[in-house]
Amino acid sequence: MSVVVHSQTPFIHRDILLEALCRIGEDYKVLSDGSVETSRVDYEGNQTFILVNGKYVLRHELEENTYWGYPRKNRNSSTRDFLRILSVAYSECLKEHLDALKREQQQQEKERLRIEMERREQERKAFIERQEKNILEKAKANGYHVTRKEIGGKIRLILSRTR
Amino acid sequence: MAEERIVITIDEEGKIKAESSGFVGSTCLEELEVLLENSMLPEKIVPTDEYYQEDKGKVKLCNKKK
Repeated sequence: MSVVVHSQTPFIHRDILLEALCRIGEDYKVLSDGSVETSRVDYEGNQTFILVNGKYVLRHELEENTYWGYPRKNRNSSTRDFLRILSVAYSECLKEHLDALKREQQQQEKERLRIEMERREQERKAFIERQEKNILEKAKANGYHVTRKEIGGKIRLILSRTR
Repeated sequence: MAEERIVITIDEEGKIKAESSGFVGSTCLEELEVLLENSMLPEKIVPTDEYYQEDKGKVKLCNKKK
């Protein structure tokens, strides 16, 4: 017999965890040590998320499927149900955050490219202006009459003099 | 009186094309060198049928494209 085991969603990011708690309508309080106290109560008091090995773990009594101390106060009845619902909300919140970051990154990249293109365009124009200015100065210094035209993005300088 | 004429085209990339006419012998190249020094590194120079026009007894280069 083989088996597939899925772990619970690890609540790594506190801000996402808080958002997920909010989303499922669970009241919470962030304590001074950084742990997150929920409004869920069991025989040991308020169930609290504490940071253990890089993830937030709900400290609670160990009987998984029983209703906890004050069932009426615990909106999602058992802790297992609560964690399951919270996991879904956490995953949704995390995905939304990542999507938003991705969009922001794309926007920033777009903006960076726009600035880069603008810089190149300015350099190009400045170079052409410099070319033209140099030629005009020398042409005038050498007695040429200059006519200037712009044709299809190109600059045409017609220098003429009689000898 | 002969007219010396140089048409200089600067394209969108800043590349320069210069065509001269009315010059005698190699003076066209010398003139372009004066006008375009620092602005142009010639990629190619195309000689023309008037390129070898006599100038006061000398055989010299001249201008005009074919």
